Amino acid sequence: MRINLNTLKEKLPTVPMDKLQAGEVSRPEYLPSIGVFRAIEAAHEADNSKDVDWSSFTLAEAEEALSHAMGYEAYEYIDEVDEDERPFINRGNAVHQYLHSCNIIGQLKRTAPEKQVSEVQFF
Amino acid sequence: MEKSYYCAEQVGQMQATYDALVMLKMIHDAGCDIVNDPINYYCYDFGDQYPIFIKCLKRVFGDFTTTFEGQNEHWQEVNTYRIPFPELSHFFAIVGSQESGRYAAKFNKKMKQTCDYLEFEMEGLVAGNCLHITLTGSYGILSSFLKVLLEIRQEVLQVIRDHKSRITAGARNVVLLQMVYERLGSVPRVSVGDRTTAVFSRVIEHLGGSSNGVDAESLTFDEMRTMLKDVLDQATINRKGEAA
Repeated sequence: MRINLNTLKEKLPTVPMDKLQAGEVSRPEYLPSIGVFRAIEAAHEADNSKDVDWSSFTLAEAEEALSHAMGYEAYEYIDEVDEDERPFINRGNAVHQYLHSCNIIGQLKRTAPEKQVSEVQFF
Repeated sequence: MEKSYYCAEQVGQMQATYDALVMLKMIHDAGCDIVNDPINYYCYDFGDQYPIFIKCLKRVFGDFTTTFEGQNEHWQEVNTYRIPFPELSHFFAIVGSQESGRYAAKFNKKMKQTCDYLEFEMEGLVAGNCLHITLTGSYGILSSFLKVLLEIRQEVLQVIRDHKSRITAGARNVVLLQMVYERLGSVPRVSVGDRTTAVFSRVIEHLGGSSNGVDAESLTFDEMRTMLKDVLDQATINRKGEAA
C-alpha cells in the first residue's frame, strides 16, 4: 500500500508563514515539506538502502523527519498527562500524520475488499 | 483520530531507524554508493543504529580501530576509535604550521558534541593522519555525531582540492606562456597564479588575436592550446609581413 504523498500534502491544512511567525497559530499546525514525508515514507516502508530514492529528500528534510520521530509520544504516555492536554499529543507531528493516513487507508481497504489491489489510488 | 499509534518500544525502534536513515543519507551525499552496495537500516531496538554508525564510518573513512572499550569512573560506557584520515597530513602541510594549530583546535571543538535527547556524548582529537573519537554513554542519536565528522572531512578535502586546482592552473599557465615564448621570444605580463581562462584571454588580447566570440570559460585546456597555436601562427605571419 502506498500513499500519494503529493495529494496528502495538498489535503493538509496550510498556515501562512507570517501568521506562524506572529504566533497567531500554534506551532503544531506548521506544514512539513513533501521531502520530509518522503523521508518518513523511507523509514516506514523500506528497510534497505537499495530501495530508497535518496534524491527524493534532502539531508535537512531527513533531519527534520528525525526530529518529528524523536518528538513522537507513545500511547502509554497518554495516561500520564492531564485530560485537557491529551488532544495536543502528537498533534502536528508529521510522523503521526503519516501513520494516521496509513491507518485510514487501511480501514478503507478493509471496508472495500473488492478493491484490494495495488492499483487503487488513494486521495 | 488516534492520539498515538505506537507503544514505547515501537517508538524506540522507529527513532533508531530514523537515526540510521539520516546517517545513510549523509554518506550517500558524501559520495558512498549505498544502492549497489546496500545497507539494511531497520532497527529492532533503540541502540541498533550503533553498528550502522560504525558501518558508515568504515564506508567513508575506511577500516578503523577500536582503541578502548570499557567504563569510566561514573560507570558510563566508553568507546574510543581511531579513524584513519591520511589526507590530514597533506592538509596540514598545505595550510602551514601556524594555521594547522588553529584548524586542529577548531576541529577538536567541533567534535565535542552532546546528544540533544539522551546522556550521550562525543569528544574528538585530531592527530597527524587520523581522528580519535570517544563516545561516552550507552544510547543516543548518532547522526549528529556523524555529521560533524563528515563536515570535517569535507572541509579538509576541499582545501586539498583547491590546492591541487591552483597547482594545475599554474602548470597550465606556464604551458601557455611557454608556447608564446618559443614562438615570439617574449611573454605578456600576467600572473602565473591566476585562473587559466584569465591568463589565456590576456595572452590572446596581447597577441591581438580573437577568440571569435567563444567564452574562454567554456573552453577545455586542449581547445585553448589549439586556439593559441592558430593565433600564434597568425601573429608570426603578421610579424614576417611587417619585417618584409
